[in-house]
Amino acid sequence: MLELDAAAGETVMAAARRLGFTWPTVCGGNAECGVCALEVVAGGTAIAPPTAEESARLSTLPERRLYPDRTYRLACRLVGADGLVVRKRGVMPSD
Amino acid sequence: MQRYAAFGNEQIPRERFTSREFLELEYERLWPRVWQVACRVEEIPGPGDFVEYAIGDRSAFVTRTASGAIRAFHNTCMHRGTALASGCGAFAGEIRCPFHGWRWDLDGNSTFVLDAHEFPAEPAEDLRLRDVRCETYGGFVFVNFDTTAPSLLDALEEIPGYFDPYRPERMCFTTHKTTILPANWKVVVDAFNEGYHIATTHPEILRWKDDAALEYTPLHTHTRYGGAGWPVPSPRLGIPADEVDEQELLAFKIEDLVDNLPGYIGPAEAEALRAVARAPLPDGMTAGDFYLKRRRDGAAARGLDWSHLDDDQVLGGDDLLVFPNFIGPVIAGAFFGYRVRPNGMDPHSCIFELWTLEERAEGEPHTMCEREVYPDWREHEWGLVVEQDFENFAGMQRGLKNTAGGGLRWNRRQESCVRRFHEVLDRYLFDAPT
Repeated sequence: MLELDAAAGETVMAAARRLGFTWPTVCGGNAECGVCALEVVAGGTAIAPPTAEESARLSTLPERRLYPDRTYRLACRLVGADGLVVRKRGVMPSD
Repeated sequence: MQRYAAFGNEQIPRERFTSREFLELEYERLWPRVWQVACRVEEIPGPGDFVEYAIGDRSAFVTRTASGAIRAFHNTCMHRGTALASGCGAFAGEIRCPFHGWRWDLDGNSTFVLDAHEFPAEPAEDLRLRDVRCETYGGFVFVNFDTTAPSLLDALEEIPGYFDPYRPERMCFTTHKTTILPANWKVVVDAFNEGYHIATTHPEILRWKDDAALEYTPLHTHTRYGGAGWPVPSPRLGIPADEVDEQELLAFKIEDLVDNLPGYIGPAEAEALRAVARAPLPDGMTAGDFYLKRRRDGAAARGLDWSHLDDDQVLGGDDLLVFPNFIGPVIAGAFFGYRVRPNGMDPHSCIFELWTLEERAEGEPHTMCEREVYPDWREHEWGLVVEQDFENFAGMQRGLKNTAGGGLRWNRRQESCVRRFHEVLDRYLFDAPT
């Protein structure tokens, strides 16, 4: 459990990095690998819907096929919002 | 024309993938001297069945004789040179030239010359079709245009040591697809000769495979990589060991393989495996334990004996490159192979075939599947993984024509098989024949 204080307009991945955490990614935050995908647990109404670019990447996400009822978003594209709660394995303090 | 081997770990010139001169050198020094896969035995089950094998301007055909032997001949009439076989089919008892009707028996002996008395007398032996070296291994029929080449088995070196346990001779075709890809043939061979591209090109595989743990074994002539078959998330995902969800792993592995790489697991097995992808794991069993048990139990139920195969061979298998142009993964029960050839005199495209084979129980008939041809690969659904690879090729070839970046840089471990392939190629192109 980790609480991130995101700046306005900042993505979840960028906020995590700024606060000293590494977020899993292969493409480095370019919406290409899908490795940064997170599950939205609560607060989903406060966030903007995915762009066409993000939706395209989400469409082949293995997690979505496995859990069709869950909401997945890319941490490199999702802009944080008050009350947003997400689940992600592998987020670690840098060093 | 620079050879690559002289560069050691240095960068690799791009021209070998783009120049017409390099392609011509390959046609002159490589293809006439190397064993290459022409077809499978199940494609020519009866006397007179034939398959043509063409590489550049050279063409041979493989056929089965009346006694059941397999032979290959240069595909040219002794009269005016007409090609005697085209594609695949069956000779009606004899080989017959469509132009003036000269005929040969299936052993290549001349049997008929129309108005023979009007030709100068010539020993019958001189009218024989010209033999091409032809030998089989594991149900694959190889040809070699070099009459002085070593035997196929000698040339295969360590390959049977890796391939034999999977019993390729008991496998037969389940798909045979041909297309043209927009890249040099070596760009395509290289793309399948390493797992370094998995993380970026096939990131969904990271959910169930430790891509960085693949072992690379560049052999003397051929190459092999493999291992890392036990399902675990790639360390690139950063998932701590105690947070790995074995149930999820099982589904990721089975569904990715069955749905996104059709043919990697043979069709007889794929459906049964797919049905248990989301079955609750029995207490104490990991995804790897369960997957292994299902594969082994399923094989036994289909009459296949895998008792001699170790767990790695059932879980992950071996990716083999049979130098120069036949490459792909073999696992217990199935082979997923690519045959890649240059496309005429165009260094920027190649003829690509996907051959998938599945093991049959002893005594089960070996049949040939339908052959599919797609001049444009986008006309067909190949499965996500293969299409992800195909998507890269046009950009790779286009970028290689641009020399601004200097030479290519290869990963010393994960691209060591790519390096070996080019070193061996250079032996053919630049060393004097021994």
